[in-house]
Amino acid sequence: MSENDLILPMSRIPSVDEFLDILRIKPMGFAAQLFTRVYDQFFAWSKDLRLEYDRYYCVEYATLASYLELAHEIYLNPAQLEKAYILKVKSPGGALDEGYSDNVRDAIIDCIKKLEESHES
Amino acid sequence: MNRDDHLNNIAKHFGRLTHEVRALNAIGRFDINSVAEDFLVPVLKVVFACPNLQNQNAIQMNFPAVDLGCRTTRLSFQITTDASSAKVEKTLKKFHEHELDKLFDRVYILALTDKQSSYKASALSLAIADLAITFDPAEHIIDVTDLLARIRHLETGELELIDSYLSSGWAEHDKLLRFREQLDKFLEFSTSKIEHEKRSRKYIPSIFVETHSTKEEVRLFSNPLFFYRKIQDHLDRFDYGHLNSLMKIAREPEFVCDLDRTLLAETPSTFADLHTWLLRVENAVGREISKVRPLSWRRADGEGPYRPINGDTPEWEIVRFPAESSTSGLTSRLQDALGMIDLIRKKIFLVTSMAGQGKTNFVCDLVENQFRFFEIPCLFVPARELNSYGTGKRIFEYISNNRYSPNATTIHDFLKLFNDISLENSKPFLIVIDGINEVSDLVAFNDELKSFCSAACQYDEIKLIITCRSEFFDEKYASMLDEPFAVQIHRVGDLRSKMTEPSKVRLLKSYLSHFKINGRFSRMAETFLKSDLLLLRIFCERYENSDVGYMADIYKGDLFEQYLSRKITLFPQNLQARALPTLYHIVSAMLDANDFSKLSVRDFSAEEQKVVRRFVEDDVILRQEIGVGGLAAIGDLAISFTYDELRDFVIAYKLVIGDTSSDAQSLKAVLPTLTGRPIREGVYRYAYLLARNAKDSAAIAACESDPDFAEHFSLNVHLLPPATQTQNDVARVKALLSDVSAAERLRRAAIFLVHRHDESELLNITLLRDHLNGLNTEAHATFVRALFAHRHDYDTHAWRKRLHELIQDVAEGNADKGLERYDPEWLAFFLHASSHAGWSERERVSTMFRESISESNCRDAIELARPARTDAVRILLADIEDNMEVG
Repeated sequence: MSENDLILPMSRIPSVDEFLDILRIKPMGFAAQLFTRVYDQFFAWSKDLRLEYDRYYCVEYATLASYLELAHEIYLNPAQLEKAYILKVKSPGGALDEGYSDNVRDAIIDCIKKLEESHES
Repeated sequence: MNRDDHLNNIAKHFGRLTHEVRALNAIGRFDINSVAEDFLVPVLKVVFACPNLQNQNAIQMNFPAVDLGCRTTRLSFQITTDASSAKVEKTLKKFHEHELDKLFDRVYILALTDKQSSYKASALSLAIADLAITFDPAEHIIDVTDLLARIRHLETGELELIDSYLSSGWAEHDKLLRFREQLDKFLEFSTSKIEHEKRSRKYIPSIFVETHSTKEEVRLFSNPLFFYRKIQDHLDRFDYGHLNSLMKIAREPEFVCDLDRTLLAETPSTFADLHTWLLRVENAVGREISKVRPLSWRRADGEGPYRPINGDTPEWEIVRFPAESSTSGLTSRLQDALGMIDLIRKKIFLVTSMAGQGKTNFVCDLVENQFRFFEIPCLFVPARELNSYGTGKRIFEYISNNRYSPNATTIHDFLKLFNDISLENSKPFLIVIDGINEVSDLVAFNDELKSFCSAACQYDEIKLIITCRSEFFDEKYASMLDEPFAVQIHRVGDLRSKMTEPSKVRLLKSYLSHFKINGRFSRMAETFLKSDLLLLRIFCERYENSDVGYMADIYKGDLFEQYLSRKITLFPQNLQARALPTLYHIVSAMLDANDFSKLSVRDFSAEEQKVVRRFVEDDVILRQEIGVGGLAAIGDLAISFTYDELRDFVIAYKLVIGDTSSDAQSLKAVLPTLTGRPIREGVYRYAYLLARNAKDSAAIAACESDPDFAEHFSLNVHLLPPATQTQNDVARVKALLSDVSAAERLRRAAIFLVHRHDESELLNITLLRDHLNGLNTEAHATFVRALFAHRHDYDTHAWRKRLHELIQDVAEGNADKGLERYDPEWLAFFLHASSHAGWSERERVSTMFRESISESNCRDAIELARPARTDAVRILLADIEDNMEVG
């Protein structure tokens, strides 16, 4: 796995509206356009490794954990492994690109975590 | 044979067909029906005089209503085991719906089992009434009895033709059946070679890090009817939505995606279906590429650029770059899909990579964990075993040398059978040839391999996986790439994978578990093993099935000696005594030739060559290299040491332990000649360590008289086992710490001491603490700066940034445990170093100590640093303690 890749274990996929709302972005504006692309990177274009495992790899790997570790070098704790989605976002670009000092990657991830926690609580 | 004989035979053949169909259908094996379709084509061609009859699925996947058709005579057939009214009605309705009357004037329903005595269902009558062609159930629904009745009216020549076809067809079927019975045993025998690879440690399951991308490629290559869905997934989300939002801004025409979703959703179930589907997808993807690529950064040579309609507008200027970026991404996605299609069609998967990158592990893992679980038929050939067979027919003889092997007189007999098996299973038949560089006569084998590849490529579903060390491939097998079948080769040139830290940890655990080694390791010992896979392998083989207790450090010299000793005791008795002298012979010859990368052992005695071959088989001590070419190469074996440090150890061992003179003559003669040679550092290191261990004063003196002794000592002091350390070493280490003009040596000595916490050893961290405590303010600052600087630092403050990183690591790593986890001596060193950090970092250190001051190690550390002469430490301690009192 590239160090720029991002792994997001999620119990559900938030809607675009929820995503913009937690970022305090009003729909229909320029920021909404920009951050809908960010949403797409996280939730539309990412690869769900749990789904991939069920669809292709469960024959070869006895457990999801061994598939993630051996094939992707991803090490998750048991709670993360129980999530319904394990999203792999490949080298997020644009506003999420860590190559730029003004990237918002961490801020977005924090917001996604809040969304996830609010769902679980 | 007369007419009646032919008729009787034909009746028997059809009787057997009916029986087998019934029997297999009874156990739910309906796949026989589709096999029967093809089986009947040559018979029906003669009986119904339709020479162009063919399976309609070969023309179009999932062709509706009818199975066989002849577009010339306009006859069609539905072959079925269910000749019920309902089934016939369904067939005719589909015939009507798909307007097949445009292609055929007649449709026959041929029942492989008995048909009904009559067909009077009203629904069927309605379906017949809807047809644009004539259909009479009495005439057009036929079974085998009807077919035989028609056959009786044929000319004798035609009967002979059908009889001959059916006889050979069943003979072929029986042969295949017999082979099928043996197949499992045949393949089991072949894959049992994997067990041999395990025993010989060439394959150690679960201890290598997968090269995921290459393994993914093998999946598509070797199991296309399962993994073709990857192409569907890849194209599933393909759309022009984002691109068109940009084009709209520039008032440019929007892109229209013509990728047919129903085409993508199709589920081919046979190779024929798959290849047809791939062709259609390839064409569809090609059309999309031609739309987007002109605007992308991936234009083909000579391809014209996209011409915007409103190219001179500011809107186009604004969207041009993001549109190019978007089309480049889309083009790349489409090209990836084409790449996957191409890979599925390839016949040879060639892995060439440097020695030690895990080719054997890679292919054995494929056979064991991928092909086995997916039941992909596979023949595994460790190429070195081909050496036991005759030149020019090694592969054929290797396959034949299996008691379950089918009778075959040519390689094509095997290949045809393998191909039939593959078609029957809808999975390719894989032949894996691992390590073609290990075949002794490379030139002759190159010709044989080319001819084998050429033969295998003539069969649609036979695929080869071949591995080879890259330098051998480039030197000996590269002409394969000029052969016509080269277009069928997919070559992977690198199996290396960069390991993350968690993977290294997993790897170490797997190794220790595989070799059944129990024990605990210091962080230093663990890092040592994790950072060098070959050393880890040597360590594990040395300590296999043992409990190593607590391992504070690993001494390479001791490890090499014990490992060699263990390996040699596994040799047959008659070779054991020759093993070490043979290694001595090798290193002497290397020293004489001043070539340490390759040596021909042509002039070695037969017994020595046996020893060499045993070491080469293991691949850990010696490995084979490419010899000289031409006539001189015949029968030659070129070798090198697998691990350079082990080679240097053997040289040193010969010079020190192998020298029978009392005054270290060999060592004295060689040491001055080492300058400029790649072995200098390693040989010196092990010579000195061996001399120290053996208390060989002449050899020790020879090493210590070297003009670069101080440099060598600083490089190797960490390898001196505690039992051999002396007061002289203490003095030498102190001298290294005191010489700030030799900053590299100072750093080596200090870093070595930082990790030595056992005060029962002469060389330990207290030497560093005492040294730091004794330095005045200026010397202390100079020392700390030298300790954290690097030789090539451009930034004069780089040393301080590193110091700050250390403080950050201590503060953030295991933050919940505070400073509790550190040894007092280490914390005293930390206080010394931190006293030269920036203000806020010093504050951070001060806070950490205050928060952990209840811990005895922190209080002890403060006491250990209290005698410091430098103001910097005194100020830091005062800050910690004053604020504590305020708090």
